Amino acid sequence: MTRRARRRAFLRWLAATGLTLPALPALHAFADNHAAPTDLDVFLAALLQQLFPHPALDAAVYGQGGQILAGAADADPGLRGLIVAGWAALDAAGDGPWLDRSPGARRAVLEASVDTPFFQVVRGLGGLIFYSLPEVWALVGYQGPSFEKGGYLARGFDDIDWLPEPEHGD
Amino acid sequence: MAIELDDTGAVVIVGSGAGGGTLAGELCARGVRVVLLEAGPRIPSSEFRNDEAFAFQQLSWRDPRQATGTWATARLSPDTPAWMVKAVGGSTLHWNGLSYRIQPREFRARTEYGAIDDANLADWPLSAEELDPYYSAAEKRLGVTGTHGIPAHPPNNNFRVLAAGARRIGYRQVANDRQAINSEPRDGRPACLQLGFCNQGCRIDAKWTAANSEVPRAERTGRLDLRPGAMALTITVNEKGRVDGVIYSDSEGRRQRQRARVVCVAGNAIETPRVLLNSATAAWPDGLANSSGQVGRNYMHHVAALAFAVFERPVHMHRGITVPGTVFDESGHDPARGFAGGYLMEAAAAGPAFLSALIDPGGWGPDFAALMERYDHMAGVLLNGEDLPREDNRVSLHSSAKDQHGLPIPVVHVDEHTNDVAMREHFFRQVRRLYEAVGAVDVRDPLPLSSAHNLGTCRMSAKSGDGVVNRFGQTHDIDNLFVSDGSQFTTSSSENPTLTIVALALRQAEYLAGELGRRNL
Ligand SMILES: Cc1cc2nc3c(=O)[nH]c(=O)nc-3n(C[C@H](O)[C@H](O)[C@H](O)COP(=O)(O)OP(=O)(O)OC[C@H]3O[C@@H](n4cnc5c(N)ncnc54)[C@H](O)[C@@H]3O)c2cc1C
Ligand code: SF4
Repeated sequence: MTRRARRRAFLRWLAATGLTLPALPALHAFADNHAAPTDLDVFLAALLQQLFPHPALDAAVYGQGGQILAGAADADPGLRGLIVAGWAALDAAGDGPWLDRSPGARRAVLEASVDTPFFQVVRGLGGLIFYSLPEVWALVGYQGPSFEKGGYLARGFDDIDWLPEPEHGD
Repeated sequence: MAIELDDTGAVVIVGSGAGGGTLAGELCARGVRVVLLEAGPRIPSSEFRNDEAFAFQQLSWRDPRQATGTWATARLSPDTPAWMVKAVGGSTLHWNGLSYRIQPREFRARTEYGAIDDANLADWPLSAEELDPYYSAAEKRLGVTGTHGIPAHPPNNNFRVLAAGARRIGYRQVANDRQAINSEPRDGRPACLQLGFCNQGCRIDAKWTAANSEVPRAERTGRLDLRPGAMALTITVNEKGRVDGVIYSDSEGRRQRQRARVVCVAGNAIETPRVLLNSATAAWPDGLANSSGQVGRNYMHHVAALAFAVFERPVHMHRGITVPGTVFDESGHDPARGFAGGYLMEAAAAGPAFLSALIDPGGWGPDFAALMERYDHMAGVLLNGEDLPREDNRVSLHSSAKDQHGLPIPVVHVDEHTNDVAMREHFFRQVRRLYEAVGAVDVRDPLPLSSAHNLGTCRMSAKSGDGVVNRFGQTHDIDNLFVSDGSQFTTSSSENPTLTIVALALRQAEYLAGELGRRNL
């Protein structure tokens, strides 16, 4: 599959899950790591940082997330239109471009926009994308695919040590 | 074995999942020739991946559908009322393997619960005692842990949190057996390695599926003609009023007609009524075998939701079996709780991406990020409760939208009963108590889920006016037309449905082979 076709398949998947199904995108497959970041990439990275601020994470991780989200927008004109219009609205609400403002000022404008479709889409889709990044998995303590490592049978599937043993049901 | 299109002697089964796959396995073993039409491809287990997005694209049914009504699914995923598989083996590729019997009293829901307003409750025309030998055979066939001397799995972290909390608040019926996942090598399949990707097609085949067990069993007899990529469109009827064939679109997209002695429909409870409704003719204006008007009605999907709690110390819920065990204490009928029927509390895990969508919908900013950083300190539990049949909760045909075959898409309409809402709220309260009893610092009320269990749309009834099929899944209207999946369920019960679907398929196979032998069909 070409990257474009993969992106399209991914978007169909997202539409189909409607955020209610336990499904995890392997999104790194959509990132074009070698291309220089576009303005949209930069905007979306800053947005992800506002939405999901993890102090321990490198800015590059948000950059990667922004690129993937921008890639999804490239594959879907409707999504792209929504994001671009949302960006313009953030710029219009306040002095100077949203990206040039302080983190606190960026947040204040976002807070006023939580009910817009733009915000809801970047929050939902952005969350799925961002929390699928291997660097983020490592931060939150998720270990991901396990077949290649022989499962969790010998890697702590039952290592919890702060609970009483369950008895078998009666 | 190749069976000719104009061969009029074979049984044609639509769908190769828990119902259709098992029926094929058992009919072939009993000497019956079977054509098995399966809309999806055949996927070797070596192609499964530990990747939920990839697996969804690889396995899931994504033909257009619509959800309407007051249930959260209509708002949150209007294109995906249900989650099921389109591949050989059907939704058993996704399933978690929990294999519980329906409780004896649940077969008598109308009698036990009494009349309930705005519900279309009925008793099953079948008792637990009658089904008992088939349940036992099904447990043996699936290798269900805790039956037939098969040991349970060692409990994983997520289950151990649930079990400890349950005992602290006085629950006593807590168990992690009854899983159709090998705890030791069995039936040519290995023991579970606790991969934690049960819903993505078990990569090592430790989990029973219709694809790794039933279809091969049927093939070994030399009596099966499996046709992957074959989407059944309509069922045809002859001048004597009997069904005589199935029109389908083959893997190349060509229309074909397979002649049949008997047709069994097992497309899962959304597609099964859809095929019957799409097969309307002048003689059957409301859909095939629908003199009762009940085809597509009484759709049930279980009251379902997923709750998570955060603890001070690590849990690592993602390690091992995805749905590792259950609390049964709320599975009885106790009207004092404010609702009829019962529910199960099943430990369940999710990855961080899914969690980000579910744990605090719309949440963002520093608090949300801090919550997500506790991922490895979380435990999860799934609600599986009895929902009530309602006539207007139904699968019907869309008035204009068509699928890739030119057939109307299915519309799944659900207006939640107040009983469902009361049950879900009770579950939330109990989950909070349970997890707080073992030190949860934060318990979250989650969103309800899309349906994983589709039931009731061609229900079994004693009288022909109350349902679509009889005690054997044979339609009241047409002798040689059967329904062989969860569509037959008269009520949903609080248990996960698949063991019962398999037991009913084994019983139907025995009856069908007998009737064929006696030349009654
Ligand atoms: C994530 C998940 C977890 C689950 N976990 C459990 C569990 O732990 N315990 C439990 O009891 N149940 C579980 N279930 C439910 C279980 O998967 C279903 O109850 C069971 O598979 C239903 O069997 P079925 O035969 O009705 O349909 P399916 O197994 O869905 O099979 C239907 C088949 O018919 C095919 N088909 C449909 N229409 C047509 C057509 N027109 N022509 C040709 N083929 C067609 C489909 O492609 C599919 O292969 C789970 C389900 C999901 C999604
Ligand atoms: S946990 Fe066991 S059953 Fe589930 S995918 Fe892994 S090996 Fe298969």
